[in-house]
Amino acid sequence: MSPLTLITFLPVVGAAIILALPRHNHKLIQWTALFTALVVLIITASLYPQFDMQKVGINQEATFQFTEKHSWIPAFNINYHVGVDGLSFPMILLTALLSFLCIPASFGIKKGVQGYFALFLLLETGMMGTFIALDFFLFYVFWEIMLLPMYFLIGIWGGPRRIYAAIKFFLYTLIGSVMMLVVMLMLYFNTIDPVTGGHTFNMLHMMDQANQTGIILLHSTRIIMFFGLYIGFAIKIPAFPFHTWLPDAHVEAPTAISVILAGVLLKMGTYGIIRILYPILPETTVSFGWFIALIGMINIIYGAFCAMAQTDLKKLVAYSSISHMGYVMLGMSAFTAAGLQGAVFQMFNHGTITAMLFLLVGVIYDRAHHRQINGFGGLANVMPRYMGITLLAFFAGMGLPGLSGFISEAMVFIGAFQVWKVHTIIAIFGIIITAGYLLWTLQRVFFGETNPKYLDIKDINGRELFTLIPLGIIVIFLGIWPHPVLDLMNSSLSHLANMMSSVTPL
Amino acid sequence: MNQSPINIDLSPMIPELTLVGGLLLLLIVDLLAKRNKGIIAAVGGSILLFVLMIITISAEERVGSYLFGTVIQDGITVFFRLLFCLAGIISLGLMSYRFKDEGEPHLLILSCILGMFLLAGANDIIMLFVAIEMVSIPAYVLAGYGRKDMKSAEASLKYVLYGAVSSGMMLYGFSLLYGISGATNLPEMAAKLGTVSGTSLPHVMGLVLVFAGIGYKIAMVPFHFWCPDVYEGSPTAVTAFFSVAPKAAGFAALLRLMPVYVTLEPTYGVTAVGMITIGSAMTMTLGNLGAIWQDSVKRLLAYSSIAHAGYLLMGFAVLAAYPEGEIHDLATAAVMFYLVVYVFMNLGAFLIVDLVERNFGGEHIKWFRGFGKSSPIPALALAVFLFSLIGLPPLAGFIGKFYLFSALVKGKLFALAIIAIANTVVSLFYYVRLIRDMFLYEAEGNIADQVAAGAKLKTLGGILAIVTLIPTLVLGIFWGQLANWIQLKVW
Repeated sequence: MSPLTLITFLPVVGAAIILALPRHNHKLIQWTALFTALVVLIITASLYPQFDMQKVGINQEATFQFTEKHSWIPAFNINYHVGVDGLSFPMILLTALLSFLCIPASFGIKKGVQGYFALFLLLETGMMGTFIALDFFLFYVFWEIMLLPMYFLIGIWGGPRRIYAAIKFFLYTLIGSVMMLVVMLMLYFNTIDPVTGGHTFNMLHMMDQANQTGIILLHSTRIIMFFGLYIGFAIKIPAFPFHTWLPDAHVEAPTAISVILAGVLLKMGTYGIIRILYPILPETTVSFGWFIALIGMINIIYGAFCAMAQTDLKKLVAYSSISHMGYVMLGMSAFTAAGLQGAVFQMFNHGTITAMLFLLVGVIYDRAHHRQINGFGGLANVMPRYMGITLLAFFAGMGLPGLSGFISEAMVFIGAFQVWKVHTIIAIFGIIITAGYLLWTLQRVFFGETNPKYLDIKDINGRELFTLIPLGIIVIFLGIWPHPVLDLMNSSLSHLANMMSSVTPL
Repeated sequence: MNQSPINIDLSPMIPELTLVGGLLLLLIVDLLAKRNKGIIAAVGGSILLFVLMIITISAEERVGSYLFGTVIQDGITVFFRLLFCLAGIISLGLMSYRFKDEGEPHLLILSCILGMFLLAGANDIIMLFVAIEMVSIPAYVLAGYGRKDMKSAEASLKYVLYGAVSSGMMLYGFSLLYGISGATNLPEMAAKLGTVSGTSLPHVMGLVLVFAGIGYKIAMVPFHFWCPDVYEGSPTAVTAFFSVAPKAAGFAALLRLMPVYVTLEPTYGVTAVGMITIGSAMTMTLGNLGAIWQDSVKRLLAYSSIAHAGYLLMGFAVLAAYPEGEIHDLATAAVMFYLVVYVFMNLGAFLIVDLVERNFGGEHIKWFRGFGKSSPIPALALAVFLFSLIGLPPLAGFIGKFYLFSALVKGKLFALAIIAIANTVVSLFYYVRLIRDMFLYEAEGNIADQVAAGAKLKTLGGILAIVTLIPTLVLGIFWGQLANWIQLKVW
């Protein structure tokens, strides 16, 4: 059995155990969840030294690692086919890490503890499965499995407008995924399995243009399929103009769920584009590179301006996520090795940085029970340790040199500038706006007169530090020495860039 | 034609004859029994249906047409008979809660199933019509079985009136078709109609009228008006049966009629594909839109069952577009697979609604608020059934939809696929609304105590929940076996 199968299904086992535990023994439930997530993290981390960074993956079945393949539904030629390459491995690392850290961050939850942790672990299964699936059908199933736990996690444990936010999230994502379903079937019925001659859901066979036949060879069909898949993924990113569910979902979701949402779920949109859209419809994608770059640019600028206008701290972070996912889109739209690496590295970094930001918002919300930026002031005096970590996270978000965000953003700009000069130049202003809103927020929250209400507010505690410090270390370490993550993706993404540059646009 | 009636081989009718014999036996037992009549009838009926399943499977190899070509036995016959038995057994279980001391409703269900057995093998318009009536007439009585309930009486009357109109239309249609073709046997009729060059007006009229008649039976828009009222008025256990079995029977009849429909040429602008596509699109759209506003959960499920009839009709649109070949078989298999899944998830949903109604005395949506907290297990089961009805993986409903979408995409009916996508999203609204009320809302003021007392699935309910829940979950992941089996039945 592949270790990937283990890390995917271990959380479900944990969830089942949790459901069997006595309902009121919160401690036991919490520690079982923590233990499960820890085991998953340890297994995932132990794969790191075994991972061969030279193997490319992407469209070469033989060079995927830790693969496992079983026939699942022979009638439709559906396989349980999993494996990782340089694109997905950083993502499963991120998933395992954030899932683990979010469990202690959820220890404050008092209502329905059993259900919360069971759903949380089910969510982890969905996330892991999505990143490791190499069969489109399997990918789709995992992609949808995430919806249900997320709906309940926001809808039951969320803020005052949780019900509205949960259904909005559900509806948006479902629209995207049903469109994906139809495109998936179009691909299935027009892809020939080179071995058996039948149809296939194997993504790697779909990527081989020689296997594609029938109507999907028509330019018009390919453009429709491109947009079908693009919308499916763009809703998840969320790319302008499909982003409106995100601020609602984030504001209402409990802290840990916001972390998972921003840290992992948003990455699935861009991951899906790179994993599925790029290699399967390469020439159509290259022809619409300008479009992805344009949306990326809009995301950066628009997200940053929206963030600046917010009075709610969590909404500000939510919009900053939209802005930061724009860098990913801009980077990957260049189809160069630098751009793609920058994009995937930015996915990883945004996962860690935004997780810190949401956790920090959670810390202050637990104490003050509100998130109004103007409602604080002078917290530097009463919460010095909190301010230190917040500074680190904000600077990382701004892309300050020496921190991980800087490297990925710089790579994105370097990669994108070669191809999309105007887009990149406009997008660079996003950095200034980002610095603007983050510094302005820092100033309003931490400096000035201390609000008398918060004179005896408690500084950050040990449990909260436990979740934040590992992320902080990663942010600093990767800012100085990014190679541990960059080297993982190097050969895969260079290969993908070669694939993309060798096609002729429409 | 010297064949004397005595020499007729009745062996293909063994399942029907067994059913009749068993039915009569149960009727006598019912007369002799003193108490628990309903339970005796339900247990006896279930055993009978179980025996019928065994007989059906053991006679599977006997493929061919019998009784002067009026009865056909093929894979599809076997499939539908098994499906009807299954739906019957689960429904009888549900019925025995409500009708503990009355044997007749259970026996009426069995007589309904007798009609369905004939329908599954009908290969002749007369046989088809008689079979449809044999399904309908016991159903009219069943709808009115909530004797003291005005709504039930209304439901029964409505059902009879609409049913009579639809039967009349169908019969008129059949007479027109017979007039043109001179044949009552379906393949013969299809062949004769196919040789007539061009399509005459009576031909079109005949097919349209028959389609309308069948449309009533399966609650296709615009012939669906009876459906929400009948479903709401009938006792819940009866509604559960109505929502699956007679509907599946209607689809079985349509499946048999398809070869006749594909003879339609677009002389008058009416084609089989066009007719069914429009019917399908309207049915799912109006069904889903209608469901959004319902506060009665039974009505909600009634509209949802209308919408599901629309989804199933998508498969028929593909069948009409591709009279034979690989795509035809795929679409047939898709329809059959969906019906199996639909039986489990829809009966499961009704099981829990019935539980709520029995415990709280109503099935208004207000009784479901806070239900998730007071009775987590039934509420969770209902949530699973509803998610499956939406078509979310990894549940069986997703695979059913996946199969239908496959047929549509393979048959290149993209417009219908897009309408179905939009509908899936709309359906999320009302199914999730119920789930939301169960888990996310608190019970309301004056009924809070009652809801807080909760409702438990007892032994029988638990067994029925397991019987419906396990396939809903397992067929979402391991559906290869069933898909293979169905494909064997199609070819």
